[in-house]
Formats: sequence, C-alpha cells, structure tokens
Amino acid sequence: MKFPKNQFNTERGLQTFIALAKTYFRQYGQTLQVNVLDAEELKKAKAEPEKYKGLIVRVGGYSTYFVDLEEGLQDNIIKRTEQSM
Amino acid sequence: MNGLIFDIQRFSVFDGPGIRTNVFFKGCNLRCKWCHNPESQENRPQLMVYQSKCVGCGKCAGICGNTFTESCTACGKCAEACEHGARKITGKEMTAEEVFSLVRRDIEFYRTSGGGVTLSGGEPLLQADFAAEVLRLCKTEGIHTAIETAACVPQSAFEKMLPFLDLVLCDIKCIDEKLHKELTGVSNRQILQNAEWLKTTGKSIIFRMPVIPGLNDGETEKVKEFAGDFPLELMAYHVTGNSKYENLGRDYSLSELPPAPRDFMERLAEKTGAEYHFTGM
Repeated sequence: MKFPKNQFNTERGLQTFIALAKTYFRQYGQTLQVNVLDAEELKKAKAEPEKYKGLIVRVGGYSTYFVDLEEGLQDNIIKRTEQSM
Repeated sequence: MNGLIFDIQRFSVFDGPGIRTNVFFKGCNLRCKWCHNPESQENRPQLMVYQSKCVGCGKCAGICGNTFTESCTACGKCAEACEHGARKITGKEMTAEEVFSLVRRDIEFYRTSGGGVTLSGGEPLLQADFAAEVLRLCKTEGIHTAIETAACVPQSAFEKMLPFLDLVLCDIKCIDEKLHKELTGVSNRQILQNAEWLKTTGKSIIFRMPVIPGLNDGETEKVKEFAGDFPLELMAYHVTGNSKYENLGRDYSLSELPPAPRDFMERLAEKTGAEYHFTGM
C-alpha cells in the first residue's frame, strides 16, 4: 500500500494507520508492504495515466484514483507531495 | 425503502472519529456559495461530463443533444455510449439494505479504530425515514453512527434518527441571519433552533463551521459563543471540488477564491478557542 508522507507525522494519522494495519493482519493479510508516495511517481502518472490506472492517492480525508483527477488538482497534489518530502 | 445516494466513500477520516464510511445523500435545501459537492444539491440523478477524458468522437451527440439543457433526463444513454469514461450519471436509488451491506464491509476497521458510518451529502435529513432505516440496520451490528447535517429541517426529522444515532456533526455557517440568507439562500432561524434543542437531548454533538475567508470568517467568534460548551471545529475552505461545477455544466461563483491558508486557520482557531485540524487540503 502507498501512503502520503504526512500519514505518519501526526498522531491521528499514525493511529489511523495502526488501526488499518492491525485490522488487515487480523482479517486477511500476511504481508503488508508500506510505501511512501513520491512526487516523481505522480508526475509519471500524470504523463502516462494508462500505466498508473490503479494508483490511489489521499485527497484530504478520502482516497481516490490519481489519474481520474482534474489536472489542476493533480498539480496541487504533486506540489504538496514535493513540499513534504 | 429507497434513498438517492451519490457516493459511498470508504476509509474517511475527517467526518467523525476513527476510520469511517461516508454515505453521501443526494439533495440539499441549502445553496451555499462555497459548496464543494455541487452534485449533492439537486434531489434527482444528473449527468456529469469530464471534458479531460473526451476525445471528440461524437458518439454522445449521436444519442441526443440535450446535455446540460433542461431537456436532459439523466437517462444515462450517452454515458453508456461513451467509451472513454467521459460521462457518468451521479445519483443512484439504493435500498437501505444495499447501503448497509456496503457499509458493513469495513466493520472490523471500525472496531479497531473507533470508527463507523457517517451519513452526509447533501442533506441526509431530507430523506429522514431512509436515513433512520440505514442507521437502524447499522445498529443491529453495533456500528457507531454519525450524521453530518446543516440542520435546516423539521425537528421531527432529527427525532426519527435519535434512537440509532451516536454523534451529530452540526454545521453552523454563520449567526447573522441576513448574512446566512445571502451566503446559503436560506434563513438560519430553524437551524439555530434545532441546534439549541439538540443541545438538550444529551446526544454527542460537534459543531462545525466552514470558514470561507472574506465571506463568513468574521462570524467565527459568534459561532464559538453559540456552540458554548460543545466543541466547535473549523473547516478550511478548499478548492478540490471546483471542477465539479464544470462537470455539471455550471458556473462557480467563487472560482477566484484561493483556499484558506493553514496559518490563517490556525490563528483563527487560537483566537476564538475553536478546534482546527489540518486535513492536507
């Protein structure tokens, strides 16, 4: 799974992640690979959306497919991801 | 029993505690100038067109020429015909059981995180019987329940929910009645009346105020005073919904307004004693 960097630098974000991971292991999972989303990948996804159809990002409080977003919002997310790296 | 729903969002974290599923009801009796879910306003299915996906093949035009006119019935034929995902119908009739069966998928995540279901929209209390039935079903499996409401509905709508409801997230846009009418199209008299009554019911309440710089931010202190001993959360104006107006063939009156800056919100929260959580938008 991919997370934005700021998932891990607030107490609430951490608690949410812990709840997600705990439930996952309790229910289904044996392996959880945690990746941090970086701006380079987002830029590639913007340029070649057909190769990144499954890429999910967080927009505020919910998740959505990056390639479905309007260009302005994509650029906004890329900028914020770069700033948080 | 059916309700008109336009989205069901899993893993929501800013609409109540823990990990939640947000059920978005279509239809609202306010018309807030800053609305970031314009597809939530009309209580009927609507066509949305995503120009960035359109390749200009003209298949939709071959079906009918009623896009964005009053003759469009949102029948969905043009959306079906489009092979590029550029058209979709927003708003779907669902039964309470269908909604519940989707909500209950994440029950283990609710348990671990102290989360649950939140009914939102639009205005869920405009479909009060349906909303109450969804919450009743959620309660049969011990799911924590919340609603997000603008509270501009009869008190009886609230009363239907109370037996199955854990938390009310009640929006207060501003206190000045004239300003409220200007910004949302309706008077806030019924809203404030309902809010005062809610305070006496013993239900958990979080008051929430969307802060739109230059429009209602001057009312923040008054809203905090109104909230009294109950928590008040400030929500920063954001622009992630702006493109939806175009997708609906509408203009957006606040298209030039930038999002409320984080430090502006933090200072406002500190000054008024309200809460503010940065959500990344």
